[in-house]
Amino acid sequence: MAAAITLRSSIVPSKQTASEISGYHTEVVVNKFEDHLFIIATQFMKLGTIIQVTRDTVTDEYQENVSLFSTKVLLGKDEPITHVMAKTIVTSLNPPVPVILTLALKDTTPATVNAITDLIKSCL
Amino acid sequence: MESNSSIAITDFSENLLDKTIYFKIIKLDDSFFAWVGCNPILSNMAVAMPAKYGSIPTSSVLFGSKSEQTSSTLAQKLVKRFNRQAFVSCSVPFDPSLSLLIEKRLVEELSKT
Repeated sequence: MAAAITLRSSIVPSKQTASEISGYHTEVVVNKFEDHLFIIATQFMKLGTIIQVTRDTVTDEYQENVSLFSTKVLLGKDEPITHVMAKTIVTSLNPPVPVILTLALKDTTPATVNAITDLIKSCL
Repeated sequence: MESNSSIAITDFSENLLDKTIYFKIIKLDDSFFAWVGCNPILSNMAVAMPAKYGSIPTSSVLFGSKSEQTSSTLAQKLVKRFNRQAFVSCSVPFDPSLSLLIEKRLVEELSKT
Protein backbone atom coordinates (compact mmCIF):
# COMPACT_ATOMS: atom_id res chain seq x y z
CA MET A 1 0.00 0.00 0.00
CA ALA A 2 1.06 3.52 -0.66
CA ALA A 3 2.22 5.57 2.28
CA ALA A 4 0.42 8.76 3.21
CA ILE A 5 0.70 11.47 0.62
CA THR A 6 2.77 14.39 1.81
CA LEU A 7 1.47 17.85 0.98
CA ARG A 8 3.28 21.14 1.39
CA SER A 9 2.17 24.68 0.96
CA SER A 10 4.40 26.64 -1.33
CA ILE A 11 4.15 28.72 -4.47
CA VAL A 12 4.72 25.42 -6.30
CA PRO A 13 2.78 22.59 -4.66
CA SER A 14 4.59 19.26 -4.41
CA LYS A 15 3.10 15.95 -3.46
CA GLN A 16 5.02 12.76 -2.93
CA THR A 17 4.24 9.17 -2.21
CA ALA A 18 6.05 5.86 -2.09
CA SER A 19 5.02 2.28 -2.60
CA GLU A 20 6.42 -1.13 -3.28
CA ILE A 21 5.69 -2.18 -6.85
CA SER A 22 6.52 -5.80 -7.75
CA GLY A 23 9.22 -5.93 -5.11
CA TYR A 24 10.85 -2.59 -5.87
CA HIS A 25 10.59 0.47 -3.69
CA THR A 26 9.08 3.16 -5.94
CA GLU A 27 8.90 6.85 -5.21
CA VAL A 28 6.77 9.43 -6.98
CA VAL A 29 6.99 13.21 -6.68
CA VAL A 30 4.61 15.54 -8.51
CA ASN A 31 5.47 19.24 -8.69
CA LYS A 32 2.70 21.45 -10.02
CA PHE A 33 4.16 24.43 -11.82
CA GLU A 34 1.76 26.79 -13.55
CA ASP A 35 3.11 25.96 -17.00
CA HIS A 36 4.41 22.42 -16.44
CA LEU A 37 3.94 19.30 -14.40
CA PHE A 38 7.29 18.00 -13.20
CA ILE A 39 6.87 14.33 -12.32
CA ILE A 40 9.56 12.14 -10.81
CA ALA A 41 9.00 8.37 -10.84
CA THR A 42 11.98 6.45 -9.57
CA GLN A 43 13.12 3.09 -8.26
CA PHE A 44 16.78 4.18 -8.13
CA MET A 45 16.33 7.41 -6.10
CA LYS A 46 17.76 9.25 -9.09
CA LEU A 47 16.08 11.19 -11.86
CA GLY A 48 17.25 8.93 -14.67
CA THR A 49 15.75 9.54 -18.09
CA ILE A 50 14.10 12.94 -18.55
CA ILE A 51 11.28 13.13 -21.07
CA GLN A 52 9.37 16.18 -22.25
CA VAL A 53 5.77 15.37 -23.14
CA THR A 54 3.66 17.92 -25.01
CA ARG A 55 0.13 17.77 -26.28
CA ASP A 56 -0.71 18.02 -29.95
CA THR A 57 -4.28 18.51 -31.06
CA VAL A 58 -5.07 17.02 -34.44
CA THR A 59 -8.30 16.91 -36.40
CA ASP A 60 -9.42 13.44 -37.39
CA GLU A 61 -11.46 12.39 -40.44
CA TYR A 62 -14.71 13.33 -38.67
CA GLN A 63 -13.46 16.89 -38.03
CA GLU A 64 -13.12 16.16 -34.34
CA ASN A 65 -10.20 17.25 -32.25
CA VAL A 66 -8.12 14.42 -30.91
CA SER A 67 -5.31 14.86 -28.41
CA LEU A 68 -2.02 13.14 -29.05
CA PHE A 69 1.13 13.44 -27.01
CA SER A 70 4.60 13.99 -28.40
CA THR A 71 7.58 12.77 -26.42
CA LYS A 72 11.13 14.03 -26.54
CA VAL A 73 13.94 12.51 -24.51
CA LEU A 74 15.95 15.37 -23.03
CA LEU A 75 18.46 13.25 -21.15
CA GLY A 76 19.12 9.53 -20.98
CA LYS A 77 18.04 6.43 -22.87
CA ASP A 78 16.31 7.44 -26.09
CA GLU A 79 14.78 4.04 -26.79
CA PRO A 80 11.30 3.15 -28.07
CA ILE A 81 10.33 1.73 -24.65
CA THR A 82 11.00 5.11 -23.01
CA HIS A 83 8.60 6.85 -25.41
CA VAL A 84 6.00 4.11 -24.97
CA MET A 85 6.12 4.38 -21.17
CA ALA A 86 6.00 8.19 -21.19
CA LYS A 87 3.07 8.24 -23.60
CA THR A 88 1.18 5.57 -21.65
CA ILE A 89 1.59 7.45 -18.39
CA VAL A 90 0.81 10.93 -19.69
CA THR A 91 -2.12 9.87 -21.88
CA SER A 92 -3.71 8.32 -18.83
CA LEU A 93 -3.14 11.48 -16.76
CA ASN A 94 -4.45 13.79 -19.52
CA PRO A 95 -2.89 16.91 -17.96
CA PRO A 96 -3.76 20.46 -19.05
CA VAL A 97 -0.09 21.51 -19.27
CA PRO A 98 3.09 20.00 -20.77
CA VAL A 99 4.82 17.41 -18.62
CA ILE A 100 8.46 16.92 -17.72
CA LEU A 101 8.64 13.29 -16.70
CA THR A 102 11.65 11.57 -15.20
CA LEU A 103 11.77 7.78 -15.15
CA ALA A 104 14.33 5.56 -13.45
CA LEU A 105 12.81 2.10 -13.40
CA LYS A 106 14.23 -1.34 -12.64
CA ASP A 107 11.17 -2.96 -14.12
CA THR A 108 9.41 -1.79 -17.31
CA THR A 109 6.52 -4.26 -17.50
CA PRO A 110 3.03 -2.88 -18.32
CA ALA A 111 1.82 -3.85 -14.82
CA THR A 112 4.53 -1.73 -13.20
CA VAL A 113 3.88 1.21 -15.53
CA ASN A 114 0.16 1.04 -14.68
CA ALA A 115 0.90 0.88 -10.96
CA ILE A 116 3.17 3.93 -11.31
CA THR A 117 0.45 5.77 -13.24
CA ASP A 118 -1.95 5.12 -10.35
CA LEU A 119 0.64 6.41 -7.86
CA ILE A 120 1.09 9.60 -9.92
CA LYS A 121 -2.70 10.03 -10.14
CA SER A 122 -2.94 9.86 -6.35
CA CYS A 123 -0.55 12.84 -6.23
CA LEU A 124 -2.34 15.03 -8.77
CA MET B 1 3.54 -3.13 2.64
CA GLU B 2 4.37 0.20 4.20
CA SER B 3 6.87 2.26 2.25
CA ASN B 4 8.20 5.60 3.33
CA SER B 5 9.31 8.42 1.09
CA SER B 6 13.04 8.95 1.25
CA ILE B 7 13.18 11.80 -1.23
CA ALA B 8 13.46 15.04 0.76
CA ILE B 9 11.71 18.11 -0.61
CA THR B 10 12.48 21.52 0.86
CA ASP B 11 10.46 24.64 0.09
CA PHE B 12 11.33 28.11 1.29
CA SER B 13 11.26 31.71 0.20
CA GLU B 14 13.58 34.60 0.80
CA ASN B 15 13.43 38.34 0.33
CA LEU B 16 16.49 39.21 -1.71
CA LEU B 17 17.07 42.72 -3.08
CA ASP B 18 13.39 43.64 -2.55
CA LYS B 19 12.15 40.60 -4.43
CA THR B 20 10.50 37.51 -3.03
CA ILE B 21 12.44 34.57 -4.40
CA TYR B 22 11.02 31.07 -4.01
CA PHE B 23 13.16 27.96 -3.73
CA LYS B 24 12.49 24.27 -4.05
CA ILE B 25 15.11 21.61 -3.46
CA ILE B 26 14.61 17.91 -4.08
CA LYS B 27 17.40 15.76 -2.70
CA LEU B 28 18.03 12.43 -4.38
CA ASP B 29 20.81 9.86 -4.16
CA ASP B 30 24.06 11.46 -5.39
CA SER B 31 22.15 14.27 -7.09
CA PHE B 32 19.67 17.01 -6.42
CA PHE B 33 17.15 19.21 -8.18
CA ALA B 34 16.91 22.90 -7.35
CA TRP B 35 14.32 25.34 -8.61
CA VAL B 36 14.54 29.09 -8.05
CA GLY B 37 12.00 31.61 -9.27
CA CYS B 38 9.73 34.59 -8.64
CA ASN B 39 6.74 32.98 -10.37
CA PRO B 40 5.57 29.35 -10.22
CA ILE B 41 6.83 28.49 -13.69
CA LEU B 42 9.37 25.97 -14.96
CA SER B 43 10.81 27.83 -17.91
CA ASN B 44 14.12 26.05 -18.29
CA MET B 45 16.29 23.33 -16.83
CA ALA B 46 20.01 22.68 -16.89
CA VAL B 47 22.08 19.73 -15.77
CA ALA B 48 25.70 19.76 -14.63
CA MET B 49 28.04 16.96 -13.60
CA PRO B 50 31.54 16.76 -12.20
CA ALA B 51 33.97 16.40 -15.10
CA LYS B 52 36.25 13.36 -15.08
CA TYR B 53 39.12 15.40 -16.49
CA GLY B 54 39.55 19.06 -15.68
CA SER B 55 38.05 21.07 -12.87
CA ILE B 56 35.17 22.81 -14.65
CA PRO B 57 31.92 20.81 -14.37
CA THR B 58 30.21 20.01 -17.66
CA SER B 59 26.73 21.42 -18.13
CA SER B 60 23.92 21.34 -20.62
CA VAL B 61 20.58 23.09 -21.01
CA LEU B 62 17.84 20.43 -21.18
CA PHE B 63 14.98 22.68 -22.26
CA GLY B 64 14.14 26.36 -22.42
CA SER B 65 16.12 29.15 -23.98
CA LYS B 66 19.56 27.86 -24.95
CA SER B 67 21.01 31.35 -24.75
CA GLU B 68 19.92 31.77 -21.15
CA GLN B 69 22.98 30.75 -19.14
CA THR B 70 21.74 31.51 -15.60
CA SER B 71 20.64 27.94 -14.83
CA SER B 72 23.66 26.17 -16.29
CA THR B 73 26.11 28.56 -14.62
CA LEU B 74 24.37 28.08 -11.27
CA ALA B 75 24.34 24.30 -11.80
CA GLN B 76 28.08 24.33 -12.51
CA LYS B 77 28.80 26.33 -9.37
CA LEU B 78 26.74 23.97 -7.21
CA VAL B 79 28.46 20.92 -8.74
CA LYS B 80 31.83 22.46 -8.03
CA ARG B 81 30.76 23.01 -4.42
CA PHE B 82 29.07 19.65 -3.73
CA ASN B 83 30.72 17.40 -6.33
CA ARG B 84 27.49 15.70 -7.33
CA GLN B 85 25.10 15.88 -10.25
CA ALA B 86 22.84 18.94 -10.18
CA PHE B 87 19.60 19.75 -12.00
CA VAL B 88 18.85 23.45 -11.81
CA SER B 89 15.97 25.58 -13.01
CA CYS B 90 16.41 29.27 -12.33
CA SER B 91 14.07 31.92 -13.68
CA VAL B 92 14.78 35.23 -11.99
CA PRO B 93 15.48 38.62 -13.60
CA PHE B 94 19.12 38.88 -14.59
CA ASP B 95 21.15 40.58 -11.89
CA PRO B 96 24.67 39.42 -10.94
CA SER B 97 24.32 40.46 -7.30
CA LEU B 98 20.98 38.64 -7.02
CA SER B 99 22.50 35.50 -8.56
CA LEU B 100 25.24 35.61 -5.96
CA LEU B 101 22.75 35.84 -3.09
CA ILE B 102 20.70 32.97 -4.55
CA GLU B 103 23.80 30.81 -4.87
CA LYS B 104 24.78 31.58 -1.29
CA ARG B 105 21.31 30.68 0.02
CA LEU B 106 21.22 27.44 -1.99
CA VAL B 107 24.66 26.40 -0.74
CA GLU B 108 23.53 27.08 2.82
CA GLU B 109 20.41 24.96 2.39
CA LEU B 110 22.15 22.12 0.53
CA SER B 111 24.88 21.93 3.17
CA LYS B 112 22.28 20.82 5.72
CA THR B 113 22.01 17.06 5.83
